[in-house]
Amino acid sequence: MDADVVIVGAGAGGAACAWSLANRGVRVLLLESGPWYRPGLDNRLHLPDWEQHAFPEGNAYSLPYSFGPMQSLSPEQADLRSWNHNLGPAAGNTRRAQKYHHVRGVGGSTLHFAGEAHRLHPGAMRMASRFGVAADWPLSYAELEPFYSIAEQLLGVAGASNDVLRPRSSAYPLPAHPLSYASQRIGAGCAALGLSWTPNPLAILSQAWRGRPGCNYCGQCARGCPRGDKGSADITFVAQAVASGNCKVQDRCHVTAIVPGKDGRVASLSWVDASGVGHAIRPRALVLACGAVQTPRLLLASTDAHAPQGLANESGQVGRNFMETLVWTSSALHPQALGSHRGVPVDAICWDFNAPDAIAETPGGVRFNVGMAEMDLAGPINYARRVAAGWGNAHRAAMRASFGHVLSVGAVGEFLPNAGTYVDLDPVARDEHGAPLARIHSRIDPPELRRLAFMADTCRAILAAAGTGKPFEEFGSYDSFNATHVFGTCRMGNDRRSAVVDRNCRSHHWRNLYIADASVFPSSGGGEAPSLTIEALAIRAGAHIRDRLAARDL
Amino acid sequence: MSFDRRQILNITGASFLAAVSAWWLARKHRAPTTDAPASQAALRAWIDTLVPAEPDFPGALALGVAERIDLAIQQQPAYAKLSAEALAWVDARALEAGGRRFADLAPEQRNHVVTAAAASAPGSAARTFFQATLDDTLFHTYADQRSWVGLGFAGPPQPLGFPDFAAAPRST
Repeated sequence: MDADVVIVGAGAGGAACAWSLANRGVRVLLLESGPWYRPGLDNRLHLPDWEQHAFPEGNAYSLPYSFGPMQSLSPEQADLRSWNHNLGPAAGNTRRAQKYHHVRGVGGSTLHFAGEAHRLHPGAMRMASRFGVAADWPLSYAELEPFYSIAEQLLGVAGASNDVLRPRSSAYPLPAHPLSYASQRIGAGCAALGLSWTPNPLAILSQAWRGRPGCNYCGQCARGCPRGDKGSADITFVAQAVASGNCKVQDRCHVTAIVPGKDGRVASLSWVDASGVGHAIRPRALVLACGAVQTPRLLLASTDAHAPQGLANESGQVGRNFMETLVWTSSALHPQALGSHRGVPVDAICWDFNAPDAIAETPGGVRFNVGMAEMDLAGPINYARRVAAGWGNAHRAAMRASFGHVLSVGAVGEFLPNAGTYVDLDPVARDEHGAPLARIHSRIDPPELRRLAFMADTCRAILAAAGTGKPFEEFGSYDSFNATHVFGTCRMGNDRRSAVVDRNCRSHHWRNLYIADASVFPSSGGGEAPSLTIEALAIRAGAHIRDRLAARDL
Repeated sequence: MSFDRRQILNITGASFLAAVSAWWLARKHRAPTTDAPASQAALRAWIDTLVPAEPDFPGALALGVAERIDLAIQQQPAYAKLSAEALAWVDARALEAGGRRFADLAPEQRNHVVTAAAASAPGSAARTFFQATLDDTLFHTYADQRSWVGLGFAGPPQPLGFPDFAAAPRST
């Protein structure tokens, strides 16, 4: 296939950009290093041992990376340590390098996401001018809004359209999901504290939609959706891009070289396919969409005389400004049997502290949400290990008394960039093709600790108000890097001295190079899930590329 | 965001594989306390004590959990070493308390030995073995739907899902 545009990475950003281009008549080659999701082989939710298996499993669905030294932990922050009443406290005096949660595959991390489809709080896009932290977005919420709407229609987002924080030009395509019985109990706790508790906008079908079935509320989105009611990028953007006839997808392809040219353009891209056969192409435009860890790796590893610091790294900012996920979850037992393993995983949310000025003296927002399924407290094995105490007949009695009683309240908070949190190339470790691994450096600074303490205190307060006993398990970011949402390593901005790409996600220097993933985020938002914003930005970037192609500028 | 079993184990600092490894490292320069192989009978009795059968619950043995754990022990040298030392401790304790090997004790006497193992010093063979085998026994027991009786769990999650999610569970 002759392609005008090559996109590397078929996650939320690459898929949405491919759809945006293909739908406008541009010929797209979409390269993905992982496989297609195969529900018949990859999903075990219909089997009794489903809980013993995470999704994805195996190296085919993940890329290698490494961690730099992690920071020491302070006894003064003992209240922010992770623990479980059966398993004990998190061990060690140093933060654990746990995991960068991602999925390598067609659909990327949307294959295991919980379906949250959030628009950014407009105030979270002006963190530098309002608070002197992070960076301002070079485009406004109003400019992004039409693309949010397009993405919501493609995905079939179910939500309540009365969100006063984020103005909308159109209603959600589908009505919000009813709240689960357990979520209703948490909502009662929020109400007792004077907090709101509203349906969470979800890319999960609340009714049949365009040939896809409605959700049957199994609660296991994180293990892949075998039904196709969750709007992962493979069955939405990629499927429609391919259906246009203008997009070809090649999975299991490993990019081996991106060659900078002498004229301010990327000259060529090389890759090895699943059969080990090498390919090369000279694209009119190249879009990188590999996420905030792997995109900077590709750029930093692409050096020559024209790009001595790495491709698109004239500002020195590639890999810098990395922002991870700040999380906290507290779990406790409710005296009533709630059947709390049922329902979509994150069906309700509290946005009351989402605005960047909502927490006193600590810029940056947070949100609170239902957390049982996300903490994998939704099946017998995890109840047996983490909830029911003891052994013998006492343990069995505890299982009977506790199953379905767990309530978990989770929180996700803003992470501000700092000098100790970045991605670079591992000087030693290499992948199977001999390329250096991405190396993650992470440091939690006092603003994050204050925000995290607020998150923990509020989670505990909501649980108590909902009528639970004291928590039996708590987990947070303080002692563990365990990030799902990562951002910022190819920051978007108007000033080429401090930003990697411009407001159209185009490199300031390399005119045919674009980036369409969360690495362009100048700030992380106040707990919003990033996929919808990634998709809106990617659709917008696709429209821009199409216009530049039409103008013979590419 | 989601967390699978191993991640949770690691997060909470309770990776029993790590615990077994730590136990192994702490003792690798010491001579083993016994040359006896892991006793099949003792292991089965031990697992039966951790998760026993009840009138409406088959228990771990009937679900084939002992065979799975025995296989894991055979495949992991550190686990095998730990098991040999711990089961020797278990039998010694049983002989001391009841004059019989652990597998031959009455259920109540077995419970006393397990209680003693659970209360042993952190890092000891008995304590580590108790933690590791309890974790593994629960992990395998509750992967069998015969163990779900009486819990109010109408799983597995698919293909039916939980369409009654918005209502109180029927058992209440």
